[in-house]
Amino acid sequence: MRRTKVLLVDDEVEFASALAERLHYRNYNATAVFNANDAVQVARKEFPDVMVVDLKLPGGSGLEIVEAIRQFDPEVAVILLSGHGSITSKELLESGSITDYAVKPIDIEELVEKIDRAKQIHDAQVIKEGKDHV
Amino acid sequence: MSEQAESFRTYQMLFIGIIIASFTHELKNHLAIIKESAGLQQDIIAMDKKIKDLGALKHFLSSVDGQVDKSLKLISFLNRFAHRMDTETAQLQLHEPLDELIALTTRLANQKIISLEQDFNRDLGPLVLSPAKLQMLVFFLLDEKMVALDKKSIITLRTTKVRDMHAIEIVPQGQESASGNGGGRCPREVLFTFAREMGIEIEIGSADAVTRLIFTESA
Repeated sequence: MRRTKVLLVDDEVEFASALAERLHYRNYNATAVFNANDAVQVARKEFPDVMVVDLKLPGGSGLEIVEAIRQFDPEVAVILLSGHGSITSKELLESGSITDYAVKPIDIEELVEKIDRAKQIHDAQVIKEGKDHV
Repeated sequence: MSEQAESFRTYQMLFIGIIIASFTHELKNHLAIIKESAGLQQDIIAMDKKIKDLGALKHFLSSVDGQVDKSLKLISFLNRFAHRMDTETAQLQLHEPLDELIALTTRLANQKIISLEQDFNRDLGPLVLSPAKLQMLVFFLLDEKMVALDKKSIITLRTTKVRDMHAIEIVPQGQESASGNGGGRCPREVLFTFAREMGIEIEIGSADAVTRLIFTESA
């Protein structure tokens, strides 16, 4: 079975690198990037199943990256990372703009559950649309 | 409480709120890095993983140390900031509350990809002032510049003498932001009133957009 492709976007290099390594240990194909340009480039090449994106990035919002990636990959599932359980995250979830959200510092097992759930939603969407970027 | 005093309190609460929100966010980031670095080491032990890259592991281990140091520095700045509120007026070197303000606002500037630089003349001589009020005034004037400027701009905070009086200059360098309307979170007329009460005259250069706070009683 193909490993779930996860794209981590966070400007905190050590945080994103350690998290990617921990997801590798749990059999995910995780890539960490630290800025918007790299996120869009990697997403265009890799077509991740799930993106884990920090809400606050220097010079903008993680949501702007999501918007840019959804232009060419509308099915990508998105887990938004925020430093606090903000109303914004809840509102975005309710509106369907994101698949889920997690609050930093995160619990790895909780994040894994969220990634698995998001992957199921992604796969259902891909089947519905009749697309696959394997 | 007079209307003016009430207005001051309102903006002081806003200032404190912005600083605390920014600091707690930063602290959470440091804790998140510590948690992931520690978690990675636990994973290696618990999952009996072979360590492919010892250098990377050493890096993660030392990053815990670094993050703890950064967090302690942040906490100490926040603690000093909180105690500034206890001090109505004090005899200070002008750069002292500004050193602290730079540390307090750097994260906000980083979020906008704006560099905050300092150019302090440390030999100006002391002044009697309210450090908490001065920090608030300079913060909102800096905020105004941060809103007005585009990414990759620089704001220099300078202490100097203007017409033989102590002065602070806020010097912007960079393109104007398309979204910035030139207004910060505290209206300019309110800032001018606060400044007058503190014996400070504010001048804003029409050509260079440099904001000057001149301590009129320091001559």
